[in-house]
Amino acid sequence: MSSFTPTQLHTIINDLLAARERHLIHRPVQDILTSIGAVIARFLDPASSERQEAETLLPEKTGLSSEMIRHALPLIFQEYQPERLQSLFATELGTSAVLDQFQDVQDTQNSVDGSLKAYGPRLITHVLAGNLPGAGIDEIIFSLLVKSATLVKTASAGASLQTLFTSSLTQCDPELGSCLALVSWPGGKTELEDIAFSEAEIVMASGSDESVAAIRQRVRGRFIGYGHKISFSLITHEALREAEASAKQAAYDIALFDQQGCLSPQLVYVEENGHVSPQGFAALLATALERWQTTLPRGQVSPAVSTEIRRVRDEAEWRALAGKETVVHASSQGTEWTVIYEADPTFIPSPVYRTVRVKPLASFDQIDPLLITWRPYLEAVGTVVPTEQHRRRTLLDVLGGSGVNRICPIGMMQTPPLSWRHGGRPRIADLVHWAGVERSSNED
Amino acid sequence: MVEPAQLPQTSVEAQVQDFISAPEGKDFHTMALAVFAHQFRLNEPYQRFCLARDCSPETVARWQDIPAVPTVAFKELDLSCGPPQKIFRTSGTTRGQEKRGRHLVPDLSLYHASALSHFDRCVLPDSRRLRVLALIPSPSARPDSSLTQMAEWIIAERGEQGSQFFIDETGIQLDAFVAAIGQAQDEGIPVCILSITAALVAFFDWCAANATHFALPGSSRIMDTGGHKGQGRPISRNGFFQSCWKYLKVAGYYCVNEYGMTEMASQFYDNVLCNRFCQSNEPRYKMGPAWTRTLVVDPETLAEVPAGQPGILRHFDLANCGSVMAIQTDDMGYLTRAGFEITGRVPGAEARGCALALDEFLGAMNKT
Repeated sequence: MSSFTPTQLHTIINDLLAARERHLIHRPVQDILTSIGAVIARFLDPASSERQEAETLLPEKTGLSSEMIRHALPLIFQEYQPERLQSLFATELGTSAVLDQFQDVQDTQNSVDGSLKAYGPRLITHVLAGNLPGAGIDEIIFSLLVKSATLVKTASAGASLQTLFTSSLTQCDPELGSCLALVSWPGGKTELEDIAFSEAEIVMASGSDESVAAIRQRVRGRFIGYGHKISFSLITHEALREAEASAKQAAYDIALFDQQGCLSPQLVYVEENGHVSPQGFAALLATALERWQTTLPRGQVSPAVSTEIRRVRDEAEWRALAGKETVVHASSQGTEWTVIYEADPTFIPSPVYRTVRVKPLASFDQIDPLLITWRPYLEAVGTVVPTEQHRRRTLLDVLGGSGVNRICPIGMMQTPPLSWRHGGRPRIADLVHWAGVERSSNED
Repeated sequence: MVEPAQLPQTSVEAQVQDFISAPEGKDFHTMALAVFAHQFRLNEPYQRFCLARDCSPETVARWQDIPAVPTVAFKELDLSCGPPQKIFRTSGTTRGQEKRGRHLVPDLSLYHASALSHFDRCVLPDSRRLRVLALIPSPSARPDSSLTQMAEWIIAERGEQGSQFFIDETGIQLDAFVAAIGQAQDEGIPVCILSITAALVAFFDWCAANATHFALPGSSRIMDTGGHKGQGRPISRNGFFQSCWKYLKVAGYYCVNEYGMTEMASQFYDNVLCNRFCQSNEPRYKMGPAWTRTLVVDPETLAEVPAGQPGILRHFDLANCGSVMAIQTDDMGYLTRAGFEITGRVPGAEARGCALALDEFLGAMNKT
């Protein structure tokens, strides 16, 4: 796992490819799902050694509090239960059987009468970034399910949820485990990266725009990149009818993973002229964040983060002192949470770690111009979609057209369904290529 | 020479002036509380800021507890105890196209007294009169720069004939500066270079590109300031000293780094030259004048941290009598035996989740 030579990396890759030939390509997807299901069940069982080890290890590894880790582990793993994965196959490929053998297709419209099979790449290299506990587990599962040898470069050396997952898989199913390897090396080892990238038919990488772009340039095969993203909440009149409950849910979205996820809302828009004013909602959100702090405390942050949050608080406090329409609600001791109400609706990202701006929205039409700068970065919106037809259509049209790729209920932002099109792309269908057989017209 | 303040000095300002001109035996603590009371009374936004923290002259018993104003405050409000004699503006280069801060100074004579007195102690401890070559924007280029103001005073009141600025409205006058360095070398006249770090680095690069180097006469010295603030190529402190020696034959102990800010009337300097003339063996660190104090606080809790431990710097400056004396910076550093060392701006982006972070976005915008 630690530092190794190019020769050793070649050996690891060759072993992975050989293991794939032996154990993976002829194995039915259903069978792989069973093994993965067994590992997932271990992590969902509070008494299992895997779960306990994860609960012990991850607070220090990720900087999240122990309470947060205990809360988040079931959320992370419940999505990967076999029936949910199976249903994702149905959505994206029609059936998982197309990965096992040629399936008959009939398309009378195009006079096609033949069969199709989907193939995963020989090797997928994953480059993981960031320190969120669940990062990359989904990619690893998908890549094994499409029967690819899977090489994962983790963000840092040492044990992580990915290493725990891998060793549990190896224990449950050594043959499947031999098709997956985790590696790590310090940044800038281009010699090792070149090997990992050139041998792979698909390279998947996450990270900042800059690092994703740098990797993209060096990949000869297909590249799937996930840059950093930004999400927000939109509190509609409908949500304001139950303002306190909505504030609690919105605060939960902010608190989970200490707001470090691409699905974490960094800003909250509140529709004006509802049951509660945007300013009133900001106060409710502050109360809710204070409550979450007692049950799901924020983790440790670096001096740089504390300083950044203080700077944002200071700027807001002095704008308020200068008579601008700004109100600062903040945790009293440290920087655990901050809610800043600002009348100016301009979209501004946050230093995260539970720092959020609340801004008024006069009408749904106003959203589009506010989001233009952020289009390439937008991921999800947490909201309560109106039931009234006209309002509903207006809101969805505006949000869908703004570049957002997930619209979900508040309180659910961090628990996307498996079918969520991360980055606006399919998950499994993006990994496979198809072979089609056309039957000649005189064939029976 | 600066004119005495047009306004009648309040007694507090006169006391601070007196403190600066003869600090021996004066009590910083008593004076600091008097200045705080003065500012609480006359600086209305600062008073509201203090009251929001339940702080007032009645409740604050130690100078360490005087509420410190973050530098961002100077972008939002005029923090002044009276009508300004001069307004200084920040250059605003560190974080892109941001609002510039402004520091209103009701009594320029305090700034003048503080700046020159501590400059004398740290850069001219041998009381030499030198030709001052300033790679600093001239008054016509940056009439609102506090650094320019200080350099103007130093040139006028400490500089020998031939002292001048080498950055004007059109930019850095490298040819003229090179000529002035060559002339000083040829005539054997020691010089005091005052420079924005990045401008001197540009001169080093010119020397490297032209395969040229100079040997300034003994007693020549360099005061550099500002670090990089995103300008020019980065250079380590040791790399800087090596270049000073390689291209100018000025040794590291004649190189004094200045740390100052628009929001403060007093400055801090490396103690090296002062040590040399006081036969002190202290290691290099920043020293402030007797009318300042510096605390290092934990950025998470804002609690004071012990000497040696890193945190963010908080300065208390009596010479800021006319605005606010307690300034919270976002500069990282640690306390030393009788001063502090600065370790740079708090770094921005770092390993975190997959959320696009504010600083990352600003970084991307600045590059385009």
